[in-house]
Amino acid sequence: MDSPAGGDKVISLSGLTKVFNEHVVAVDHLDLTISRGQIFGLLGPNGAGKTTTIRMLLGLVIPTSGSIEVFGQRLRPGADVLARVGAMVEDPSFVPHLSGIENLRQWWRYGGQPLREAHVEEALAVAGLGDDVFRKVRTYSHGMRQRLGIAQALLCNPDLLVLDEPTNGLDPAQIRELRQVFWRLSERGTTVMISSHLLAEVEQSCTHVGVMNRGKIVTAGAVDTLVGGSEVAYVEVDDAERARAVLAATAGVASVNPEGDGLSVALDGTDRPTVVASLVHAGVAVRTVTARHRLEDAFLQLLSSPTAQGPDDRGRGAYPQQTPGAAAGTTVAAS
Amino acid sequence: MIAVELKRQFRRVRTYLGLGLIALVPIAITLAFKFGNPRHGRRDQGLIAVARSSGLNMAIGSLLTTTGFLLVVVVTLFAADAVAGEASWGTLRYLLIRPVRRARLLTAKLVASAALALLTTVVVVVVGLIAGLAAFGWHPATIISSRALSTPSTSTSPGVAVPIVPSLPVSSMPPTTALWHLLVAMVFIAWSMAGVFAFTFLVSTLTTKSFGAIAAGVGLMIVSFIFDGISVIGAVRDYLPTHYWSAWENLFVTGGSLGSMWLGVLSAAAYAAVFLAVAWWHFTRKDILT
Repeated sequence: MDSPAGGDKVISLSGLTKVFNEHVVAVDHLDLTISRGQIFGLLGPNGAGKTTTIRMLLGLVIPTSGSIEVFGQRLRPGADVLARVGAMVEDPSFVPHLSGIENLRQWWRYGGQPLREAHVEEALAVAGLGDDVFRKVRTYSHGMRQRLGIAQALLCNPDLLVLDEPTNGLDPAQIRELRQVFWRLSERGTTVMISSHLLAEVEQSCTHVGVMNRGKIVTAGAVDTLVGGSEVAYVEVDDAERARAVLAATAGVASVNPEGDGLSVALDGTDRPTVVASLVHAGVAVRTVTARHRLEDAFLQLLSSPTAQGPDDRGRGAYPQQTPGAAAGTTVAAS
Repeated sequence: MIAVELKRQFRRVRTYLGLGLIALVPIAITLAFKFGNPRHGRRDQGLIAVARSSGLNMAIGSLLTTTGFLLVVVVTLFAADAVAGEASWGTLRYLLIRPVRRARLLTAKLVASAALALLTTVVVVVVGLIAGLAAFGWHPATIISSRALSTPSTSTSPGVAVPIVPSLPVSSMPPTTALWHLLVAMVFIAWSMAGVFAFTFLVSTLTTKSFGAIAAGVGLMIVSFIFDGISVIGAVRDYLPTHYWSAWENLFVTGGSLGSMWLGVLSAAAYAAVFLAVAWWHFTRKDILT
């Protein structure tokens, strides 16, 4: 099915805002466009507003202001256009006393469409659950639920697939398989949107990325551009104050920002050896120097900044929280 | 969609537990009346005192013993689980990302749970009738005089009722007529619970804990019973959701007024309309965060 007139825009969010309990700003004037065939990664620490954005996109949470268009149609709760959308929101959830296949069938029928229109075989092939689909969901491991959740999202042969943290609970082989599923879907024109707090996952799976923090998009673009663009150096030195002064005077340094124990140095026309040389020359001892691309830098700066887990996290007990340190650790280790 | 919803409910153990539990009561009291010592029952009051006289009276007795509490608990169980059950599984959000309006999903949930509530009342009557006929046979039903029956508003509060003495005038009703009256009583009882049912259904849309919604529904009933027992508050009692619940007993009383049954029908309809309107208003606007 091709997207109707309105071009390639699949998702168009404009000025999207959600305020909970009149003062907790979860999503703050978010503008975002996702086009046909993209594999878009919404990257951000826990509590950044990713899940709220996805819930609004699916009509579960009603926006305070702003607009959501999906395939050129304004999205309302239970809108017809949701027939073209497959989704998984946070944990996959099923009726525990029914088997996997019964869960899929019942869920499908609630949509008012006949069962023969569901792409059961294809979805189950992707999930790879084999005969386990006939077992009660109560007996499933987390990974099996996750795969059944992805199968459920694929039942409608979606033109848009929205998955919230899809690789949670999957082992590396399953993650690789899922990535191949995204590519196959993308090749035939399906748009995929995933959320993640893992940089490596987004880098490896996605064609496009939006880095989100405190309800806003901080950086967005094609992954290739953000990864291949100008370089950033991360340095740890004995005297940060002095190093900042030295670097500010160095030609080809675009900006210097404190980050954690060190400094994030954006390079524009110079390279790492030159930076190290000028620091050493000025008598600053360099303990660590690491190369980064822009996406990595944007994300890691975000995680190290004390405001990343801001006051807008209050009142969001429903969402499992993870410390930014833990997320950063995983990310650095994997990249 | 209603068919899917009903199928979902009939695949649940708790549906059968609820219906099974309520079916045990008529069987248990029939056995008690059949094998118990009649002399110990001399202080029984009202219609329950004549339960032995016919299988039909036993069915009436089943209704009398369940309408005060257990029937309502089972009925609120079905209302409480309707939405809160899905929320507690986490499946509510998945039902709501289907291309279906929220109001339609709520309608399916309401119709299915109301059907189960009606079935619960039917089970009490049918099981009571079968057990009663097996134990006491198909005879004319014994009905009592209005002097023997406490007024509907006080029948549930002990100590206020007028005591019945077996020598009080009783008369009989042809079995077919009694059967018809029993059917009317069944429909009335099911309908009179609509207010409490709708309240529980409303709470079910607000919480993820079915148990909380049951507690709210049963709590409303108990509070209403308590206030109904306080005669000094006078006419206010007429507006309580449970005030007319025992009005159906007039069907089996000589000279019993049926006017209070019509008021009961209206009262339940009014309460149900208000609670369901709030449920719809809230659910179609609510943020689904579970």
